[in-house]
Amino acid sequence: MDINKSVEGKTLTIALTGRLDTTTAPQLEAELRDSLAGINSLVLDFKALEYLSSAGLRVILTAQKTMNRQGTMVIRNVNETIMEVFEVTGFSDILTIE
Amino acid sequence: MKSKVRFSLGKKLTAMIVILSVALSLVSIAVSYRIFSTTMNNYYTQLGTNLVRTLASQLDPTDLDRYFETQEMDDSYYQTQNFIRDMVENNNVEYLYVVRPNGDGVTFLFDSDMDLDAGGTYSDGGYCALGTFTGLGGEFAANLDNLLAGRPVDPIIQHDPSYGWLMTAMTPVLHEDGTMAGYVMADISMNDVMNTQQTFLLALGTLLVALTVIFIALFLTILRRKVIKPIDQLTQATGAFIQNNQDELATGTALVNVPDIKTGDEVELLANSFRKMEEDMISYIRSFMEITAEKERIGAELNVATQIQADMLPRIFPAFPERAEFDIYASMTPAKEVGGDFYDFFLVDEDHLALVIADVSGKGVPAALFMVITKTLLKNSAQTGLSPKDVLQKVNNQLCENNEAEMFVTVWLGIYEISTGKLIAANAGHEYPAIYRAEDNTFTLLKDKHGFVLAGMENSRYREYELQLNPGDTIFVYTDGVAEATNINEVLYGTDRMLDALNRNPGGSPTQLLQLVGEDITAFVNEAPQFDDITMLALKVRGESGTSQKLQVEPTLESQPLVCDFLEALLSRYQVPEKVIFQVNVAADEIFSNIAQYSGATTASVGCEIIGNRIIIRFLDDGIPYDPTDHPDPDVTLPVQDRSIGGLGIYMVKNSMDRMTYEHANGFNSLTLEKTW
Repeated sequence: MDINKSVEGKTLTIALTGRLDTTTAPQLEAELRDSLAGINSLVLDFKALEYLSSAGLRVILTAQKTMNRQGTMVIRNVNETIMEVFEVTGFSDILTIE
Repeated sequence: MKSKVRFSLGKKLTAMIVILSVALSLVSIAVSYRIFSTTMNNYYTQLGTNLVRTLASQLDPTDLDRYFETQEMDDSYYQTQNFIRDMVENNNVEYLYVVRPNGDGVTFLFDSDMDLDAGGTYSDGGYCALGTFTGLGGEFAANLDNLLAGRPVDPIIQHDPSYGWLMTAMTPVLHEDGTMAGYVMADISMNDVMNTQQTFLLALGTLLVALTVIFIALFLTILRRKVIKPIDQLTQATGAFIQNNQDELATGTALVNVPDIKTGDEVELLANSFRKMEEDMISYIRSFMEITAEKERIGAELNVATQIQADMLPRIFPAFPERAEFDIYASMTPAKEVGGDFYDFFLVDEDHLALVIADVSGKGVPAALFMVITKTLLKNSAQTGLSPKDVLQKVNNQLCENNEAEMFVTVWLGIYEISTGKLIAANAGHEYPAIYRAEDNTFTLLKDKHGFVLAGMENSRYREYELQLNPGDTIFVYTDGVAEATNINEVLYGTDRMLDALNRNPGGSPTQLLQLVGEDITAFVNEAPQFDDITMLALKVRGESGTSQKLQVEPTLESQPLVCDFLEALLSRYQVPEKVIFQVNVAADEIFSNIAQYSGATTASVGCEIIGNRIIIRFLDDGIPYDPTDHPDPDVTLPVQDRSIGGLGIYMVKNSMDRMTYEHANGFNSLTLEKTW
């Protein structure tokens, strides 16, 4: 998985390419842990993300909880497969998906 | 129970006695009458003959000629007449007279009744004077020639309308030259004689009838008392014996009901025989009931034994629902009693499936016990990982120890390597397996090399052979109950008919094949009883060519990409839709990461099979038993702060796959996912 990060002021945009699974989720988790300080708007771009597993969901959930305290989090360009996962798991109710 | 007989013994015997009595009476009456009448006739004949002879000796033939010609009654005539009258008075005679036969009649010369009245004629019954002529009738007319010739004539007895029964004795009076001068005749009344005879007959007849009646009455009384009544009693007693004593007979408390008959004859013997028969019957039925009860008990135990034996065979199908690589089915149709057939199959390890089919010699409990031992030993040996040849050698030696009963068992043992399709098999005197090759689309017998039967001889050597089973191929093994099923005409079913049945649907599933052969055997044997157990086992290698693959990996997170790549490569090659590939990847990620992180497994594998538009993926690991299908679903409606991630992965897998089944067998967790698109 590739993580492409760009910061504009207090907005952090992270574009993910590939798969967010057990193997790759720790990378994203580490990235977010290091980057979220002072950020009040987090944008996750899933345009190039093929799929995610529960390990990925866990990272997203952690990010959402953090951002609930310090701002907002938006997920963009969610493909059909991932959208199904969000819906099945009820994540679509707690995430802001554009 | 007394049934009416059409002709009772009494009636029959009475009829016979009546007939006998009548016959005897008739004979005795005839004989008595004959003797009586002969005696009487002789007496009177003698009397008459003496009388006429006496008179004849006093008569001078020339005087008679003179009286006949002159018809003058001189002194001498009256003298003779007086003499005649004296003779009639002194003798028991009706009439005494002298006649001269001439022409077709006689002319009277003297008549004892001469002075009774003034005259008359013979036909009037009156006195016949000298010269009275009268014609002759009856016997006299018949004897006219004799009379004219002066020949002696026997006395004539006949009924005269005027005088009743008369016997006429006569004797001729002859000249010295032998010519006839006249006849002296005496009429003796036979009326008394005849009356006496009738009285005699009547008395005799009455006596005989009375005797017959008394005799029959006496006879019937004795017959009734000594024969018919005892026989009736016997009939009643024996007829009702079973009906009235059913309960007592069943409990063994029935009593002999034949009455005590003391006639001292055959009837008493008959009664004694009946009594003995009933006694024997009671004791026989008692022992019969005991034997039946014992048999029922043994039968019930045997039923339990049969059930236990059947329960020892793996009977739940599909036996390995998680194994997409092969399909197996087996069946045993036992004959009436417990037998020695058995089949078995089990995983030696994750990649090796053992197949066993065997037939113990003999039947019944000994065969069943031997079967249990053999099955256990075979499974134990095979599970240590020995090759078929070595398993058979080891088990043979184990069975040979203490095999006092001289039993033996034929075994076909195959060990199938699931990943490669390689089958190694050994045959200990068992039937030839039938092999189906998908490329030929036909079943043929595999004439494999047979070793000696197990338990036959110690240290027997066995050979093993190797077969490559390709996807679609099937191996079918069976016991002699199939080949030697016999119809009512004693014709064997045989392997040719079996192959024909298999080849009617050679590509069918094991279940279909066994059903096909089973039905064919049933149709063939028809009414004939099933003599031997019918046991069959079939293994079919699943999958179209090359779609089944397996990856053996270290159960660590580092292996995760390998698993995903393996699946993705396989699925891509078969044009599986991308979305399904993603779903499979997510599922594989969830399952394998669980195995890697939490199971403590030392080995794991993932297998994948594609059948048409269906994928079957199986994860195996030797970690701690864990059934993810048992995991409760998470609450997916909680607010963010209350959410936890536990259980979400499994939940996702459940939702994205069509089916998820778990099994723990032989130390392995086995989780099978199925997905159709």
